[in-house]
Amino acid sequence: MGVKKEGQVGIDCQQLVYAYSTEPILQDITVTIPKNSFTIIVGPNGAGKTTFLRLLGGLLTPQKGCIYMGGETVESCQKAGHIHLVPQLYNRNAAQFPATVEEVVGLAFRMGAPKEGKSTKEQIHKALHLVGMAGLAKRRIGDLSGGQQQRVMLAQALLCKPTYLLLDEPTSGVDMEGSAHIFNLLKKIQEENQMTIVMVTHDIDDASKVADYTLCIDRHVCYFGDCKGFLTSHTGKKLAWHMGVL
Amino acid sequence: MDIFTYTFMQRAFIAGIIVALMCPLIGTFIVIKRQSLLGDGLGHIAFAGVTGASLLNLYPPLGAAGLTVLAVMGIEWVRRRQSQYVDMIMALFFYAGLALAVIFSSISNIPSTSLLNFLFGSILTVTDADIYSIILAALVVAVLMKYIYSRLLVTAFDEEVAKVGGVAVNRVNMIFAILTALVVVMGMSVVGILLISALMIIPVASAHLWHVGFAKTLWIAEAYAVGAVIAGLFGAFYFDIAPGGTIVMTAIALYILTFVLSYGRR
Repeated sequence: MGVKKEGQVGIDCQQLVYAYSTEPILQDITVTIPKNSFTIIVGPNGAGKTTFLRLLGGLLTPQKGCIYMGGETVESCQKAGHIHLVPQLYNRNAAQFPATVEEVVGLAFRMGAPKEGKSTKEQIHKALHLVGMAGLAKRRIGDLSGGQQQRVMLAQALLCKPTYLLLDEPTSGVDMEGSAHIFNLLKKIQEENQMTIVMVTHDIDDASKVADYTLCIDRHVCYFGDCKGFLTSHTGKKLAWHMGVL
Repeated sequence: MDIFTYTFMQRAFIAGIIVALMCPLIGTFIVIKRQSLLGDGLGHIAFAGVTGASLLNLYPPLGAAGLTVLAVMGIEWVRRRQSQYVDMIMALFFYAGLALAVIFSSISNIPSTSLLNFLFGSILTVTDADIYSIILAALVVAVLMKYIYSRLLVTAFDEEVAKVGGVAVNRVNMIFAILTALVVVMGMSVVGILLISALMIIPVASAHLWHVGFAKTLWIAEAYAVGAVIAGLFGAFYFDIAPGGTIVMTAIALYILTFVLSYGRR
């Protein structure tokens, strides 16, 4: 499981244990995700991927173990606005939210996104332009397709400029072309803004093309290392076959 | 106009317009948080507060405010711990409120006309003291809404995104719940406990039909609520009918009119 040791530590998880009831969904998760890297979390259904992401976001608290992000606790990172979450599409109230695309993106400023020289409206339109949604700024978010809504959420994340961007299956319900576009966009955002991205996904094949690392979880860490290595590993082949990728 | 020569009508317009301005401010968020029946249920609890306060010889709106705020804090506290069954938890509190109201009214000697005034509103009998209470409550609601507005908006959009982004979601929800309780109590004298929720929800529902952004929806809802109160009071005065019911029926008529006019926009 070869992870390059150079560079600073982004997210450091030590012996995490989490259980919703008596049986732990996550057991002894120890992993160090390098700073400014793009990591995808893969694994079978019910493996604890989303639970792990929710632990990173501070939505759940581990029963054992600890998480440090750039040396700080998750709570202090939250308070400082260093983390941003793009949740699963079906979890969101967005479809019924009576707001235009530019209003939704503008929520970033209400979460403490930095205001730069130009007006907030200009910043919003720049972000929308980057995700290819500038033409739909006045449309209601609920009128957009799943893929378009995800791009709007990415534009919001872009304005927040978080140090840590967490995404939970951002391409679920999005077609293959749309998925590839979102992954490429994420890579671009990550490189330009020096972010640490952690993304739960089922699109192993496409996501591996842009990500730096793969973390495979099945209640414990099955693999953590470079994406190419994962796809050629026994675990990777087994998971890819199981998910119908290969 | 004749109508404004009567002091009781002047008071009615002042109280009605203030409440009309507050209702959509809260109602817009209630609708997007999918808690449209919250105001209705809080009305049941406010009724228990009114009857309980009468039993203790206290100012009834004070009892309503106290019990409703306590109940809404309880609902919010339980909701955090059992978020999967929010509607069930709310129902539990609301039934308890109604049951308490029945018990309190059976052992107190409140005249049935007073009870009906609280249930269906008595805007034409609003006193100066009521107006001052409504203005004070409106100021508290307006100031606190301004204080939490940004965080409330983000929380209403997605609680998890807000929490991860550093918003103190629980505190924001608790403040909002208390403000909702205050507006319910404010509206008691205008349209009554049973209909206050209508003034929170119907103007917002009408505004939603225009299919515009959030800020515009809020402003349009405010206009609908104020319009319904003014038109409703005129109707009640000239046709000599119950003002609370007339206001709500005017709001519903505006909804139907908007539904027809906005048909092509959907």
